Amino acid sequence: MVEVLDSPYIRTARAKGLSEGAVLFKHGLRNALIPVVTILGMDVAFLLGGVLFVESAFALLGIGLLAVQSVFNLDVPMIMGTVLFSAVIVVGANLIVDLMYRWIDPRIKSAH
Amino acid sequence: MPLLEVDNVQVHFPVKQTALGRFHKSVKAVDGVSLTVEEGEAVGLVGESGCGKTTLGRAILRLLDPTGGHLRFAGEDITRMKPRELRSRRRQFQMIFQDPFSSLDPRLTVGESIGEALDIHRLTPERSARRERLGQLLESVGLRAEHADRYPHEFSGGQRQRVGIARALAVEPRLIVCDEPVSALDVSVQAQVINLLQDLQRERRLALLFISHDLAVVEHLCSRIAVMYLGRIVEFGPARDLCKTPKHPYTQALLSAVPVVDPDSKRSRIILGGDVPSPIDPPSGCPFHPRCPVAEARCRTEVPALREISPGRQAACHLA
Amino acid sequence: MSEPLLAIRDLQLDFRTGEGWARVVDGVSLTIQVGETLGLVGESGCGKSVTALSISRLLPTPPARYAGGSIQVQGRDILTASSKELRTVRGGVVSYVFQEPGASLNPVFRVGNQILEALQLHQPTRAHDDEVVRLLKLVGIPAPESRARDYPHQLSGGMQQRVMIAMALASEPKLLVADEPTTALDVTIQAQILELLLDLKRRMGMAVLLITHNLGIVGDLADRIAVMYAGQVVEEAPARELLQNPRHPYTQALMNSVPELGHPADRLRTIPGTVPAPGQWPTGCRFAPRCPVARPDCATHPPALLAIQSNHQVRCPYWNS
Repeated sequence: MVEVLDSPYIRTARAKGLSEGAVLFKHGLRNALIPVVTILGMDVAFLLGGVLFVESAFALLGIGLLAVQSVFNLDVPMIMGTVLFSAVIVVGANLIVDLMYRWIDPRIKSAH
Repeated sequence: MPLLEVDNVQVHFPVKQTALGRFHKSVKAVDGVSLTVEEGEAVGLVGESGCGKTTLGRAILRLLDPTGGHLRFAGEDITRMKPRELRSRRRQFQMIFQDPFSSLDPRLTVGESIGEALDIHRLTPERSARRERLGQLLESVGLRAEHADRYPHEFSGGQRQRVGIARALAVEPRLIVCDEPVSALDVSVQAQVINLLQDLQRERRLALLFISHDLAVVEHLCSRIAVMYLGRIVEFGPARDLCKTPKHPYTQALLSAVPVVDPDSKRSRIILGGDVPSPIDPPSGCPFHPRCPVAEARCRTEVPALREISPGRQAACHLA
Repeated sequence: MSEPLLAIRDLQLDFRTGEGWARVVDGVSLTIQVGETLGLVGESGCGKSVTALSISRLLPTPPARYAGGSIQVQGRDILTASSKELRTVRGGVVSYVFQEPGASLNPVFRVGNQILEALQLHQPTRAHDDEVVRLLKLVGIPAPESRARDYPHQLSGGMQQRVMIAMALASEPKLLVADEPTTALDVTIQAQILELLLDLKRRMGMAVLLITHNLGIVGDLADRIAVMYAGQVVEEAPARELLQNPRHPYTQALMNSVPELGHPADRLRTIPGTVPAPGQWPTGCRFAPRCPVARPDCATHPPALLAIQSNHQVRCPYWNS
């Protein structure tokens, strides 16, 4: 966001007479979202990884605990199942991120 | 025999068009260009963005590969030469780039950047000789020998450009391709660098291919000028003549658009309509016809060839 | 004499550097009357751009700091105005056109919407699509209805600059500040844009502040020209007068160092040395170390602006040598 606020188009927005609030929220935010959204996509993968530990530690009945238990029990089909499920979530999240890019940044839309 | 012969060179970049990755169209950045540069001569290559002049400059140095045509340097065909053979030839042709801020590695001192060239070609194996040579090179471009130990960010744009020139000179080339070397510099610094290039060219019988959009600079420095539009040369001839009596409508418009300081100069500006076109979808027939103030029916269908209209003067126009 | 539209008096501006504050604009005074065009010429680092940005107080403070002087637009003091007042001035009285139109337009909004925004702020009764189309037509954009729905990156440099001009005009400003409007454009497109500015200027009776380093483009548009060097105005005169009879050694040297088409010289007459950076200005006359006619006392006596004719001022006591 700080970087975006240094951009020439922000200066144009101010030069037009927009209030600081409008400059920040209307003009700055959408541009600043692009890298943020990327990180969110990556975060999903990390979160999933963490789930394994959190659920084991707090004995919460969820996918993480299931995955850990299936590894200990050498329950191969279940291991495959949980891994596949996680993979789908991660890929799905990144797909959503990619689609959000196209919505946020029109330059990416026309690159196709 | 000319030092450099560019013979119908083409540089086409394929552009992916379908989801399956099949190449439909190509960007014809350079579409059949022929020109020569004699030993010790400065030839100007002029045009606006998208005309292909930078691509041509790089193709000539084999920084890019031509997709058609031939390049001959000192009589030798270098168009398809393998990198190993090409390496020893590269000593003879060098380049100076436009942006003095990004063309020098910020992590190397200036001496190291220039010295790299010396090392690659094993020109000064002894350290003392190398140090001396570096000092000489820096002084020949108007800097001082002590500057060799400084980093690029400690220099101004004009000084960095001088370093770029020193680097190009280090290997004693016969031809230097200058790609907009003064466009990014302040007006007063431009003059200094232009004078430097002119002096070096005269003292060392250096051939220059001077690529620029600035016709005034090109007229000043070069003996012959080639005007490019959409990947082709549209006019070629002696600098003074071409600027005084341009034969191609594009050259005429380009010349009339150059800002002139003298408020009394009586000239009617030829204002071209439309935009500089994109090389992906060039117009049919003469590439300039959509913007040409004197286009005829023929211009829409027939591509005009670059032909000699008087001794030493070529133009690609049906009406020239 | 009626009140000038813009009156900058003795402006002093500092910028924060690593070691404290460096003066960037040092006592600059400029006035622009209603409908007049002033060309402000100088090389990079002379302070022309920051002076121009100050007119709408667009410089963030810090890292800038106003150390003295005043800026009055239509009699209103800009440096002490409230943010509410400033917002009416920005766009409503003073509009800007910047150097790189591609970067100065928000890439995620359609071009038409960006113009509409300017209308909504200052001309709300005319804030509708028809007006946007009219403005695009005014600046010579073909097929304006479909172009309005384009994003900035879909337009060429010349088109982008036309859009910026349309946006600047939407709010019906009294003063258009154009900071190097054609520097980033191709030469034939430059000619188009300058022609457009000339036409609009005549039609709308706007005042224009044209900032550039190129003496060639300023001659066609400007009524008067001011030349800046190292934070000061060193010469000011009516355009024709300055271009034909430059009196300050810097102006003369600048004109001599540019190659003129059709007037080939054997070698360009260069100005030795480089422009001193803010914070490293020499004492006395700042141009003295590079000046071909400098005398010993130039290094100790900073020259004041002298009026050599009723409307021609020069900051050099030896202008007649």
